[in-house]
Amino acid sequence: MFAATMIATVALSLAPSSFLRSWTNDLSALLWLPLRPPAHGLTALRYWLRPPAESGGGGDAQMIRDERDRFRALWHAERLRAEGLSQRLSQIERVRGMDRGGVPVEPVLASVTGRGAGSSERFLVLNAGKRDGVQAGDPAVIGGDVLVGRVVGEPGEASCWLAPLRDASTGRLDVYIAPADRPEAPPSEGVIAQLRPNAQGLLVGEVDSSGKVDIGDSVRLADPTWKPSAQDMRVGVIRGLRKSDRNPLRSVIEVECEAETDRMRQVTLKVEVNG
Amino acid sequence: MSWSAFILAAAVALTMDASFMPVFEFAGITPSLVGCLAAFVALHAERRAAWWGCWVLGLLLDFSSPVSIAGTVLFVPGPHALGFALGAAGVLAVRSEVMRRSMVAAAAATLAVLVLASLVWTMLWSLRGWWPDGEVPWAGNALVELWHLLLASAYTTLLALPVAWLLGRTFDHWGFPASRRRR
Repeated sequence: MFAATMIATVALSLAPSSFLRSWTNDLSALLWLPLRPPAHGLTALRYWLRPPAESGGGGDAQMIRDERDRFRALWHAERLRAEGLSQRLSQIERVRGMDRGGVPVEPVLASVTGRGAGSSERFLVLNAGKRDGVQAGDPAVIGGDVLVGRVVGEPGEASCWLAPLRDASTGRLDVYIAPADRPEAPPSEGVIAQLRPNAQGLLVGEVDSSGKVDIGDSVRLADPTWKPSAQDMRVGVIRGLRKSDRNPLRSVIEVECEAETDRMRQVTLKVEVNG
Repeated sequence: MSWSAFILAAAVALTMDASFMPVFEFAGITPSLVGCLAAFVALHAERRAAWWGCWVLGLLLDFSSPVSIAGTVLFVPGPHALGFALGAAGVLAVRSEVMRRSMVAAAAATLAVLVLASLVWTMLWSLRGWWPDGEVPWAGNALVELWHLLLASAYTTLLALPVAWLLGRTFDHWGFPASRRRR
């Protein structure tokens, strides 16, 4: 009996993803249904014992910071909407339906209630789901415009999984680099690059060695595979810059993510409002 | 072995691992209570119960560790389950030679279970990486990931000392052969 189970387990562990995806998510949700409430309580206890790095003050200070983050998120949402409307005005005669920034966005505050157990860079579990309008691919930010990651998989009714930027599953990211003295510069004035996560928890990529990029420059998302509400959000800051070994005309940049997911307590999900 | 005690302990360990254990995080490494529990079961339960118990613990861990493939969440049942089962086999092979109630033995068993589980986990995920839709849940290469897991195993071994003492306090409720003989 046990030997047969082991053989079945080997077969399952090597089974194609398309076969596993259809039923393992439901099984995991069922398993975690009774465990989620105590996990939430234990997470609160954990933050009480070891507060996140960014929260240095008491409860009031935290509330004010949360409010600030919420309004910064609202401001960014409105800015995106305004940019979208402007684009629509200029392009309405050429392309209908290519309204990238015009999607209204509703910020939803979500607490981190746990993490996927196991190894490697781990997913975060958020206490927001379909009932809050969360959909797969919705980006999560902190501090208004610091990108944390995006929702992966089908969200549950009251919870969802968030894959951090540094997770291997994020794959390659298209970004633009804004100078440190003008971090709000638009994409047209920035240097385009493509980044991928490495084993040291950094994002690495190559740019032209034209001297336009320097350590401390801000890196922002400009990736069409991400939702419009994620565009322009801050990915990180350039911490390393060196000549490429393979191509002397190019430089390798190392980008440190601004969002420290290991010690994160709350994020703002940018949920698209349909209709 | 009392399976009700096992289910209760597994639920507590799994929940603690996912939510509370990061409080002990050091240099990006978090210890695992599930690993300590697996070693405890492998040391004391009947042979068959030890196999099944460790397999179930690994399976629960697999259903708590999602990876993302092509933008969807994927749980792969097997890598931890097989790893823990192999870990149990390793402990079962030598447990008659050690003082099982000793905390040091429990810590050594934890290290053995987790090292073997890490090897199996990394190997199976590397094999999955060869599939056309295969992706691996790490950035960089498998050896770096394995090194990270071995460091976590070593850290968990330190934690296993107090956890073994705590589990030892509940020994009579587990229905292990040794506890039945004592009664």
